Amino acid sequence: MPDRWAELRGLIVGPERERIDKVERKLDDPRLNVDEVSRVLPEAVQRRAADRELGMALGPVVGEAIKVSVRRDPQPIVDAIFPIIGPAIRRAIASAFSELVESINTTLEHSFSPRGLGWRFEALRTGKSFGEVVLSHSLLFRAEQLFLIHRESGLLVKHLTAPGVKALPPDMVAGMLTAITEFARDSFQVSKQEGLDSLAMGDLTVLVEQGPAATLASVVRGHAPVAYREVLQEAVEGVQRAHAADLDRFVADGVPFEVRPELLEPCLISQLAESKGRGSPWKLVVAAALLLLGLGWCAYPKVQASRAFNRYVTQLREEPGVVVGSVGRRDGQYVVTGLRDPLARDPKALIAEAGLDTAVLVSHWEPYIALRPEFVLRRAGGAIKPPAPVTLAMRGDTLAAVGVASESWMRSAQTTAAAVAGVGAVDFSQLKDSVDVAMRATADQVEQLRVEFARGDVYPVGAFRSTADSMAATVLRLITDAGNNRREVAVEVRASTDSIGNAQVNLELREGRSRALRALMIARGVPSSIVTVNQDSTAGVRQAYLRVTIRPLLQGTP
Amino acid sequence: MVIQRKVCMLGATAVGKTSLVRRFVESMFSERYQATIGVKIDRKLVELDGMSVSLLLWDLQGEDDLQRVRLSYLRGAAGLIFVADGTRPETLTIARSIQESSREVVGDIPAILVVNKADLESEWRVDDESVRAIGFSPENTLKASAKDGRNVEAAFQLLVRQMAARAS
Ligand SMILES: Nc1nc2c(ncn2[C@@H]2O[C@H](COP(=O)(O)OP(=O)(O)OP(=O)(O)O)[C@@H](O)[C@H]2O)c(=O)[nH]1
Ligand SMILES: [Mg+2]
Repeated sequence: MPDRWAELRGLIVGPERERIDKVERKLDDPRLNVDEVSRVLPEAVQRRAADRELGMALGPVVGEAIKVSVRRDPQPIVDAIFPIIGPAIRRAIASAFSELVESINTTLEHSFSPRGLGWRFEALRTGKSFGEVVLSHSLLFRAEQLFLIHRESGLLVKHLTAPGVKALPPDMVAGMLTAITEFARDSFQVSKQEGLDSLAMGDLTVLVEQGPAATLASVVRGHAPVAYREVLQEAVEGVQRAHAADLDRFVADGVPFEVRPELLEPCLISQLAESKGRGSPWKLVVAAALLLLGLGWCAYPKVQASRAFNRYVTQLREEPGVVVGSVGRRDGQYVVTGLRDPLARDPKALIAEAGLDTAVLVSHWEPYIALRPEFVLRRAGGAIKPPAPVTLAMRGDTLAAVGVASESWMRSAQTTAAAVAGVGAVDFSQLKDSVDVAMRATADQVEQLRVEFARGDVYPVGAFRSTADSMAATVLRLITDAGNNRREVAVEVRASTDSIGNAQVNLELREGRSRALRALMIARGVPSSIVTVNQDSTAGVRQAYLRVTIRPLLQGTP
Repeated sequence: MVIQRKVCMLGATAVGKTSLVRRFVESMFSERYQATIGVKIDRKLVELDGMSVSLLLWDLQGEDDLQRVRLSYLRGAAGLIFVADGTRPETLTIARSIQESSREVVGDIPAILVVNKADLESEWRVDDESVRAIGFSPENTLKASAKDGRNVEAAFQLLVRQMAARAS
């Protein structure tokens, strides 16, 4: 009977029973419990996110969890936070640097320490800011640029610069560095594994660290400690390890890749020179300050004098005919020596202009001959003393003269001028002989005179006798002058007719009139051998006149 | 994204390698000849199908004597431009022999032949026949002039396109 009850109960409540069993099992099995909770946990946390209680409850747990995690394997955490920390550090360094420059600027702004003055002078000379100059002297070393280069192709993978450094296009620099390495290797036949270690110029050094596929080059100002090499080595090794596949792909398709920043950042470092003698007792500080002040006081006029001297030397260098040789200081005096053309401005005149005290200056000038055109010209002028109507000029090294001068002056000037230092040639072709000029002027006067004729007649009319007198007298005077100056005179008689009448008649009239004037000249003593007859076709006037030619006597003519 | 590629200019002396690079990069030309010593590196950004390619142009010292060509400079190059001078037939032969030995270093990478000084074509002493005989395919051969600029841009474009085809 009880069996049947159980059977009946099973039939009635069987499905419920099964469900109850399932729930019981669920409540007992912790594994199933976790599943359940994990399903609702994110939502539950999200819902209570605004609640501070949850945060407070989780705080210590999360802290502990991170600690445990870092202890086990720091890399994931480092990877995760590096993108945030890297730039933050860089920004901090940059601002620290600019603050440093600024504070140096302000603290040393008014200092008169000799070193400070020296640096100040250097800043003036180089145009850098005072702070930069101080920094460059107190920096032991600073890595300014970093090139990560694909070794084989010379293509640039990554370029980093320190704050405030201006750089050339880095990909060309990377190529050039590789080419230089290649060149050095080829030229000096070293093994293939060896490469360039460093390049140095001035206080810049390029340190090169080679890996099998990548090259790391660091541009360093100052002297990097040996340990810095190790930093570079480690970095190259790190890059090789972390980016082997990237590097391979890079040469195949040229596609850039991001280098893990933590690999390279440690290479961009710098180290300041330690400042010595810190924390001196205050009395010493005061004494030192007074001393420095005193030095500054003494130094100030010196700086002024030195500026004036520099100005003076600059002016001297620009002064024509002055060549500055040596410049320096001896026994507290400024010394300048050099060469000076006697025609140049006296260097003493420049002293006052530069505001320099003559008492502190010793100068010595050797005479020399300047070959500047203006000096050659002045020297030549002094030697040949040209008469007023003559102007001299230099064309290249040729001394050229224009104007009027006597033949005798020309002859002597020609030889004298050629002997003047700096004169290569003498060109007097534009110079007119004064005798010629005077005779020509007289001849021009004669040519103005006219003898008139009546219409259709070959006999002169009017005051022709007195005109003919003065014509002949002047010609005779010219003949005498010519005889004295080895020249000869030729006279041509010309005549014209009016336009009336036929051509044949007019032709005859012109000939007749010319002959008439010629006869008048010969009658007045002009030698017939020098008077020729010609015609003039000028129409409308009935007159005759003279044309006078003066020419040098031919060689061999007595 | 900017892709970087190394390209080398090779050929006999004074064929115009430097002039071609200068025309391409700076759009300038000079009659004055200044022999390149070692190598000179220039850079130009070119666009290809919407992609930027930064070409690093290694302009090598010209050599008439094959023994003296510094092949180590070619390592890592993605393309080569061989330059000959149309007024001097022997420069074609030199280009040919440099190309043969370059294979040992860089293998079979895209390469083109530029016969330069096309502005002087009336004075050329090479004909199309002898250019073909050198062994570059006709589509990889260009007549160009660094002086008047003809085909200079086209030559570099041609090489870039071939390099892109090779990479993809
Ligand atoms: N007419 C003409 N002259 C050219 C041309 N290209 C170059 N030249 C001249 O050829 C000479 C050599 O040119 P470069 O470009 O220096 O030759 P290169 O091949 O670089 O010479 P290397 O550096 O010695 O190998 C120069 O005088 C150029 O002016 C051209 O297209 N036409
Ligand atoms: Mg060249």
